[in-house]
Amino acid sequence: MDKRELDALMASVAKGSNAAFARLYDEVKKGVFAFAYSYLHNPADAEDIMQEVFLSVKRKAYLYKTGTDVRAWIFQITKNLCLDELRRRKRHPESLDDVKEQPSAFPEFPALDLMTKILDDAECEIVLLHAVWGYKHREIAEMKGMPLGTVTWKYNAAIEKLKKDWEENA
Amino acid sequence: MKETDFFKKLNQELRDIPLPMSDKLKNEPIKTQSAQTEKQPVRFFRQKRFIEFLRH
Repeated sequence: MDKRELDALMASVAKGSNAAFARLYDEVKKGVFAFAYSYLHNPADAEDIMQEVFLSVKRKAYLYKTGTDVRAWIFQITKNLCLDELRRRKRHPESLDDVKEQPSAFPEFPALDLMTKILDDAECEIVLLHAVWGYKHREIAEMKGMPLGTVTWKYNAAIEKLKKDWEENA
Repeated sequence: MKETDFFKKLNQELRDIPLPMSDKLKNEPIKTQSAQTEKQPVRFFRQKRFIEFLRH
């Protein structure tokens, strides 16, 4: 779904359409989950954050301005909630150990795991924005306030790391 | 490995993860522009009552 279609969908959500919200959820959920997972390294926590993100979308729907980038808006909500969660963990480190001991009900995802293990936060964010969210390098540069050359350089470095590690473990 | 193959694998993994809406999310009402506008008169009358309270 392109930017204009997503904008129209979000405009319907802002008018109160639950059907439009369900379509938006299906369209964006995997990107939100992947991004939350790259921050939190735990599928259950990433899913909790994903649910919080969409609760926030429903609660802030009236603030959405038609013509703005829905994906960027949701991406920013996701990032803010992940950073809040990481700050909360710093304040209460014991709760993190509790979560780690729980068995995961999620299937394994080697590609996503590899990315979050070997890439730094900035590289991981750029690769996810390109590969999962569908942004072009130029758009990522605008969104992050970085020169295009820096985004391209980080992206290429990340791909080289991924190729090397993936082939070594194949 | 080509980068497109890796991206296909990554997207397939993400598509395979079951991520249903929670009940809390399903039941959460959408806050619309009109719902926010309807609230304004209540706020206005509250303010009016408060001003009257200060006058007395």
